[in-house]
Amino acid sequence: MSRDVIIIGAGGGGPVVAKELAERGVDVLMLEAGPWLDPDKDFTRLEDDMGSIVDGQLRWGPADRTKGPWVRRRDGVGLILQAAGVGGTTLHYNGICPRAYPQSINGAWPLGYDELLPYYEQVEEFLPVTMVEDLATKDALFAAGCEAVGLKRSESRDCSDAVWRPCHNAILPIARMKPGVALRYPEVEGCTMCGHCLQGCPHPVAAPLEKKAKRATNVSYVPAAIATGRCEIVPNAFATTILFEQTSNGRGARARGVRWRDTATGETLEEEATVVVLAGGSIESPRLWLNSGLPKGHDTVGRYLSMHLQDFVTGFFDREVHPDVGQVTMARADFPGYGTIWSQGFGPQSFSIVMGGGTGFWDEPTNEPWDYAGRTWGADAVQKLSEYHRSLTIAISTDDEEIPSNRVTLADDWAPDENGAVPKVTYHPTPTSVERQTWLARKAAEILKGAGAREVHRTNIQPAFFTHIMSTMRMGNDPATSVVDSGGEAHEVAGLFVGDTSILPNGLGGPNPTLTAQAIATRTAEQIAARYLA
Amino acid sequence: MPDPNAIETIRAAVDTITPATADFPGALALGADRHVIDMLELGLPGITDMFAALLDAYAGEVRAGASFVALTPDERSAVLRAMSTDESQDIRDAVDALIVFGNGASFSEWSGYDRATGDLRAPTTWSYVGFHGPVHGHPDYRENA
Repeated sequence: MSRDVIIIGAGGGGPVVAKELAERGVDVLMLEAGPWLDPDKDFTRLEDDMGSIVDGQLRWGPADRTKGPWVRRRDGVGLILQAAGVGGTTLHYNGICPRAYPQSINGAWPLGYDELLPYYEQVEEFLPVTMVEDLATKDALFAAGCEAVGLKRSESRDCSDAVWRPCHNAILPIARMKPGVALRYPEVEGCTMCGHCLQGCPHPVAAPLEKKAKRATNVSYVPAAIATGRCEIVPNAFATTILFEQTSNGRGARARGVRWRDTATGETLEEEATVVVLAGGSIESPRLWLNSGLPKGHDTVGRYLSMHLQDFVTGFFDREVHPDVGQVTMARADFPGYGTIWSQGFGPQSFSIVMGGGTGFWDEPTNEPWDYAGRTWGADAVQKLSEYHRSLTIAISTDDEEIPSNRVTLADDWAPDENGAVPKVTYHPTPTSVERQTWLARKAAEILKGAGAREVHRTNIQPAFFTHIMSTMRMGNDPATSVVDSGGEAHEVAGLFVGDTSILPNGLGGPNPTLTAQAIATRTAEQIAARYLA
Repeated sequence: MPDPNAIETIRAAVDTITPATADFPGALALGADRHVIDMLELGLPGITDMFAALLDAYAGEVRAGASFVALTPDERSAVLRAMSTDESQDIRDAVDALIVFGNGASFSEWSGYDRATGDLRAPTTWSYVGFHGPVHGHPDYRENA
């Protein structure tokens, strides 16, 4: 059987390509390595059951949780938070959808910010992305701290200046929740402010997928693609090989299909296609390229990894804050040239890890605007953890420099797993990236103090904590420094496109990457249709 | 199955990280040590014994000839501190794993949740830290805070 298009990965980007092509009449097969969960039946809202990196429902691993997670070899890399499953990492993302900083695109990308705008607007309208109309207490406190250090409020979607702003989130507007009315659809519509965004969003209870509050792709782009009648999705299908043939003209090779492994039965299957789209994420997409034996004449596949060098700064207050109430992030501040920061809500499990990890110790004073940094344990830690309900954590997302030595390769000195040679992820931040991260941490501490925090802790995460993984298959005009062209097609392989965050040429200046990756995926779908399926 | 001595060593480490206090039950009372070992073994079978050997090796640096379980709480803390600043990422990662999985069990639903039946008893830690637990929404998202 031959398809028009096979998409590998039903995460943040793949379903965008699927929907856009299927609506044009294209026959699409989308493979997903993880399971296809039902928000109403499977999303328990529980931190460990959903989010455990080893056996949580949203882990990077097979559907059978009695089996271990899929492994990655790590060099300079700490926790990697990626979810396998239809919806991918959007299942546990915050839903924050900022646009990139224009100054990080213009001159650095093969297209300008103005060329991106129509695609941003298309995604923002479809999901939809809207500005939050009100702030939960934690976010109002963050905003007050920003104002205290002189930041002005902005409501613009374009992020060119240092300001704070209510978030533009891919979350439906706050529900009108009247006293005594059941918190279920259709009695309420919209976001119920439950605070469980990170565990997958099942709310409002009983709402159809198009009315679920957080617009992860499993409830947005995936249903829209299926509704066309031209998109088939196969979960538990781990792609192991991109089939291709050498050609004597054009790009040198031509993609012709995909081989995958059923993660439950172990059965190997394959299908042919006119076009193949890599959308397995910034670790698996280069891994699959390398495991497939595709050309690597310029040795750019997997290089230029960027990840926003994230960190957390937490303030303790003499008032109730309740970091578990409201959308997990409802306010942010942007600092072009350094990165972005936002209020980060979460449950006590995540909080205990934010307080327990990092570099430094709780009983070592600092000369910084935070009072201590790094690990806490013992009776002191237990006491600090009791202050969860009076804490506000700010997440830091740095404009980290992308350099070729930060990369994904194959761990040739490790045994392969059932899906082939396992990936090795290497990341060592540049001094400039560390300086920018430190600048943001100091600013976050000032904001917390400005909001009235009596004590401030910096996690000081080392090695790097991976949530925004980007740029390993980046777009560009020069094959010596990029993998795909400005239309998303591989320089060296005709008919092979990239549809995930790995295509981003850089880290956007720090803003969360999903919206921009989805905008580019929308544009890539246009390019696929024009080049191969007109 | 990890060695019984290794299990005791992991228990001692978990107790050092999240001990009982006057108003907190402690990680061991919640069974967090079992969760740590389960997660380690699911991720990489046999690694519990390796972690225990590491803790014992560093214990010998703090007090010659002593195993980790033989150390005082302050001495155990010194071991974790030394491992946390080791030049090897693998050694530092071992401490991270103890904290992530130990705290992960103590402060999540794990100690009160049955995945098979879906039955949930709110862990005592939730009231200790002021967590609402799973809810369908917060109509009073401003007023209650």
